[in-house]
Amino acid sequence: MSVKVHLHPYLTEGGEAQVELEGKTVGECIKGLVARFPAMQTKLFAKPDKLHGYIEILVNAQPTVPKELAYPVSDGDEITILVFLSGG
Amino acid sequence: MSTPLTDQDLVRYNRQIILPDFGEEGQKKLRQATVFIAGAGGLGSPVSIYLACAGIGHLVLVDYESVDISNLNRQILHWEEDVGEKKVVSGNWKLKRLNSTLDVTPHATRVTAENVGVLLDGVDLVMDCLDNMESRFILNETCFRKGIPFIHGGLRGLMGEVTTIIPGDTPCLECLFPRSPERTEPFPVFGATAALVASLQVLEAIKLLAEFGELLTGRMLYIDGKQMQFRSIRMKKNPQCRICGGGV
Ligand SMILES: [Zn+2]
Repeated sequence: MSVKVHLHPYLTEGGEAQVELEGKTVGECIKGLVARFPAMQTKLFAKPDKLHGYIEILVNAQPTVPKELAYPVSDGDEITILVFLSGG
Repeated sequence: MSTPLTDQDLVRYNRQIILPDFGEEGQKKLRQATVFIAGAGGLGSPVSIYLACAGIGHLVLVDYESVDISNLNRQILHWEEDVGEKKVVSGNWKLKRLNSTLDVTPHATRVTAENVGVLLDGVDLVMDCLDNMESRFILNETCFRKGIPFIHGGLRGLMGEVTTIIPGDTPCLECLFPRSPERTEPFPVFGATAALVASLQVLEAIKLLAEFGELLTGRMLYIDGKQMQFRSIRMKKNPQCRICGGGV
């Protein structure tokens, strides 16, 4: 089981833009992501199980809101984490 | 209903008219267009300047704020002498001097659920140059209802994003972000980042109005100026979207 995760530059700060993770749901994959990059926890989550309003997660280009973390993924899927840049 | 270009137009816009994809027909389409610019700040400044240069016939400029000295690192429509002046007054003055053949309608007001319907009357295209989510959501929803294309731009620091929303065809803003993100003002920004995002928005506007080229429809372009990487991400509509998906 391997899922490709594309990361927004707000999260990576110049690090890897793409990582391979394991999991059956978006939430499980994100857990693995945060285990690998602990600094992403506060950038992604407002509360332990609640993403910030400026974060959205696509699976194979499909928006997964409102239940992003429970959204199922399988081998070969691609997760993209979007960050809304609200400045103008 | 398209009136011919004047001799002066043919000279003034020559360097874009000679582009085969664009031509005199493209120029006429720009002159007939009414473009609504939501926000006369970091993005709205270069967006309005480049739209005025390109010969958009009618610009509607909307912003309720006044110019502050801290705006001048990026809001190039406003100068030191404008500090304290309404941004749309300062902007209107510059844009009319830049291109006296244009109509500019300034509105010193916030975009609200109450006034948005009237503000968007007769508008062909909306440029999202806002710095807050509330007004963006109001515009996104009204553009969808009225069938008006919406070119979104956003920034933070050296990062930026652009996407072009065509009601019914592409995902809308709420397909992706139905929860209002928390306010995080003031956000860091360089003027050059705003200029970069704004230039891309204007290129989208020109192509959309003159009907040529490929648009950023169903794609979000992300710019990372720190690492100098550009990436466009494919996005589909959200069937559960409150605005365009029939969800609740
Ligand atoms: Zn939508």
